[in-house]
Amino acid sequence: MLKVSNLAKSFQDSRQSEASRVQAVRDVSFQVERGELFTLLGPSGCGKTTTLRCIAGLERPDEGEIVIDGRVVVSSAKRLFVPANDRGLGMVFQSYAIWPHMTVFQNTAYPFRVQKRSKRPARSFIRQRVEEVLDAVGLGALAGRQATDLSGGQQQRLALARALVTQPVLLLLDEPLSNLDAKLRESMRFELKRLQRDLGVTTIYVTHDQIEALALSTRIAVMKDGGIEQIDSPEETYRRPGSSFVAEFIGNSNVVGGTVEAPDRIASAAGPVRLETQHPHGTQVLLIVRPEDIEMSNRDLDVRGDVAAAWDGVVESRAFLGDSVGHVVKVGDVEVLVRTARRESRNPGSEVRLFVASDAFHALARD
Amino acid sequence: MTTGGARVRFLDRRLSIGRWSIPLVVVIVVVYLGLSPTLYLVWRTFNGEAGLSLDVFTRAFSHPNFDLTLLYTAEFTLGVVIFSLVLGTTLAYLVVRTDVPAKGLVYASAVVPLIIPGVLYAISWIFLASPRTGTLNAWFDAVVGQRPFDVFGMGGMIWVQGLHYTPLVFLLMAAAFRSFDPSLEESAQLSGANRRQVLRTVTLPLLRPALYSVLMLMAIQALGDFETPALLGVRGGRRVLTYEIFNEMRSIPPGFDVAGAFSLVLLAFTGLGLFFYSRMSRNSARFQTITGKAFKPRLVRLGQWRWAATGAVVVYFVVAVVLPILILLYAGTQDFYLPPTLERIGNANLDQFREVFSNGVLARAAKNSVVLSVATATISMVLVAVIAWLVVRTKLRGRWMLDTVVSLPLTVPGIVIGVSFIFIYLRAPLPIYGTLWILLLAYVTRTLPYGMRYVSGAMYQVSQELEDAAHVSGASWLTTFRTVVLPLLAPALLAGWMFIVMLSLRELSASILLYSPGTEVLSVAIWELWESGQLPELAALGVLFVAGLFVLVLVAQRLGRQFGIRGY
Repeated sequence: MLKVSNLAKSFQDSRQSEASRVQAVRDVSFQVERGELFTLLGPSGCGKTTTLRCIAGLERPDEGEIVIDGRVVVSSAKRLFVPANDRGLGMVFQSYAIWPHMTVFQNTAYPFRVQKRSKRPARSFIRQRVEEVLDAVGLGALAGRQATDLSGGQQQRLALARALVTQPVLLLLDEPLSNLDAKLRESMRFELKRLQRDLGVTTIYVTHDQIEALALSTRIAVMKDGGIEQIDSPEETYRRPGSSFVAEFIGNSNVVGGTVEAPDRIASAAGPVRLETQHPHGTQVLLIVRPEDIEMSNRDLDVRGDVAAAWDGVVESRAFLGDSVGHVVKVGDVEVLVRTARRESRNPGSEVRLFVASDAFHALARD
Repeated sequence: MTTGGARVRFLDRRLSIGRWSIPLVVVIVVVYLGLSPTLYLVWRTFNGEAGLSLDVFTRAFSHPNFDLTLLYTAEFTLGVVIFSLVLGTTLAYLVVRTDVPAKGLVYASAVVPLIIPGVLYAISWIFLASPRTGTLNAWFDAVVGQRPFDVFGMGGMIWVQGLHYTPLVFLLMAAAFRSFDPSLEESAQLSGANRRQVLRTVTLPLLRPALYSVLMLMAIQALGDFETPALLGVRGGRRVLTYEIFNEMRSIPPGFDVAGAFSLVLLAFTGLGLFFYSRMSRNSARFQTITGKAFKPRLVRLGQWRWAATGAVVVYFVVAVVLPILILLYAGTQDFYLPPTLERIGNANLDQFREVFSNGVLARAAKNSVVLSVATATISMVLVAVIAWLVVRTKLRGRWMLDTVVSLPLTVPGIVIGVSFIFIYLRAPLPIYGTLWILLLAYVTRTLPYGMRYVSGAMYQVSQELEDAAHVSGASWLTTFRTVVLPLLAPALLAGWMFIVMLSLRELSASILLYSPGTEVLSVAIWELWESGQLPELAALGVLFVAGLFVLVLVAQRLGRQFGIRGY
């Protein structure tokens, strides 16, 4: 459905010298299948919004090619650029971009209104379609209202309705939930996912919120400094991060350095780890383990068979997180984050033993 | 990694070649209007009858009493600036920062003098304070036996123009006070400073950038002022540069060279003012407490000073607003002007008003004024809308220069515009000299900067994403401009349009040089009535004029409120 190849874009403040060029996107390539919800995830400045805007036609890439539904819309090699108003996409902006001088109905009907006379459907069809899509987002009763009378959440749905009204081949969402408060964000997350699945519309989603990305996506592309670090399903990205950056960006992670000593043993900064590994002897590795995958108990408990690591440490601090308790445990020189259920929490100062199963470890060669 | 062979400069907001024609034409027109007066003035002055030379300056500087002219110009400017700054700032402080009552009165007295054209305001003060027939003198004489007021002379000039400029200073300083973060003063108080120390060590220093920039702005205005010095200064021999320029152009044969030289001298001064003004604006960024938030300052309690302050406000209102209007009203009801007595007030009639209505010349002048101001406002706003879009929305190189070029005419005094236009169009192939068209060009040139302020401010407020959303929804650039940008800009466009109409109706210093029989405008008609001594008719016309402008302001406010409801 969407194919992005070798996209590159840089910006320069026109008043400053050549030296201040910022490479926002460097050599980004990915493909999206029909019906997928594909997320571009990363911190601010990673290039995700610029990539999205290139797909929309609001930015002109310096290099690269973008093909939407078999149609080439941008090609630096062929000097081709289809303007934004010709791509037939739907987009929801971070600020919603609802036009204040129009009603809810007029905002939604706008994409039809600006079509060429010859291609424009009949008034009755437009009306029916607008009402249909407003109902789908739950704004059916507010069609006649001035757009400025709507609350933040309602404006966001209006933006969605407007983006979907012409049944575009591709839906682009630029951090649509970031302006909502926490509770609303959660409920809208589910609604978005349901809507996307029901309509089957291919969606590109941009966000810096990794929880959103994990909850909504079919696949996630983690971006950093203008490039893609990893493209995988949410589960795979979470369980098998391909780099320390991804590991630290998605969820919390412990990242412990170590050296391969034997095919089944790694010496780490926190202690020995019994783990099968393909890396040759002497390789510097990073061991990644999630805080919730670490078991914490008293020192007198015996080592069990399938355990890969048993580290002794002291609880330094503790934070009550509502549904769990987070601990910082000092193991030698290393600080290890451990998350337990409330019942298994230990006080600061306690001497504890940390157990980690072998499948909870993920080893990355240090680059 | 290379960025590809031939680096074609892609403009991020690209229009197809055909659509570039409109912005291009506009840019050419605006650059021409903004630069041609000054450039041609310079060229013509140095390249006069006798060819390229500095001769003209020798002749200008040896003009009789040139040194006095410079002195009087400096004296007038300094006096007016200090007067209006002190009065305006005090009023602004009282209204915004203290609990003085009758704040509405101050705002009213701020708006009204802005409506009264300079020539009328000066004439009303002549009615009030001329040594022989001035009303105030007559009353003083009756009571005390003395006639202390003489409006003719430097004192009178400074008094009248200072009063006339105070509202502008008030509005600017009130805005500065309003954007002042009160917590800066509060922390000084908590640190132990008393009220006077806070004022001296925190308030005034932080206010200094705003004060300086207003100072420079008023200096530029005062340097270019024509009406008041021409009406009040000449009789006492206090001639300033603007008057000398006018005099040279009006003599037979016209002293083009000297007028040109004087104009350049004046331009040099206003240019200096602009230089310092922009320097100060840049430095004041350091002190910027304007975050877009409007602060609700804690009002200073005046206590025992309350009555004195209130009294001062009332006195200001009466002196600056009530007296001039009343005297004009009175003078328009008399057959010839004499200080009012109960008897004369009883004999009030509407004969002069009838005269005004039946006067063909005045009717034509009124028509000219209306046509010109409407045309000017429309053309200026259209030009400025396109320029503002180019400056705010595109990433064109050098668009900041466009903004500067549009704003240049602010520093060119009206009389100098008149001189340069005569230079250009007397010999140019365009047959506009002596017609309304030359006035139109001059008006558009002078009002472009003001329109720009209105529109570019509003353009910044219309978020880029609103346009992007229209694009992605399928709208072309033109459709987006028509259905999204223009409707959202409409309130600002209308406000700017109204303002330019009012500015054009009041314009005199350029019109006085560029008009010819048949193309007079109202302000010139008033001037002509003054020169021929027809005072009562002048007063009647003045009253009608001010009344008309007042109605315009009310309509503008009402329309503005209506648009505001449908706003963002």
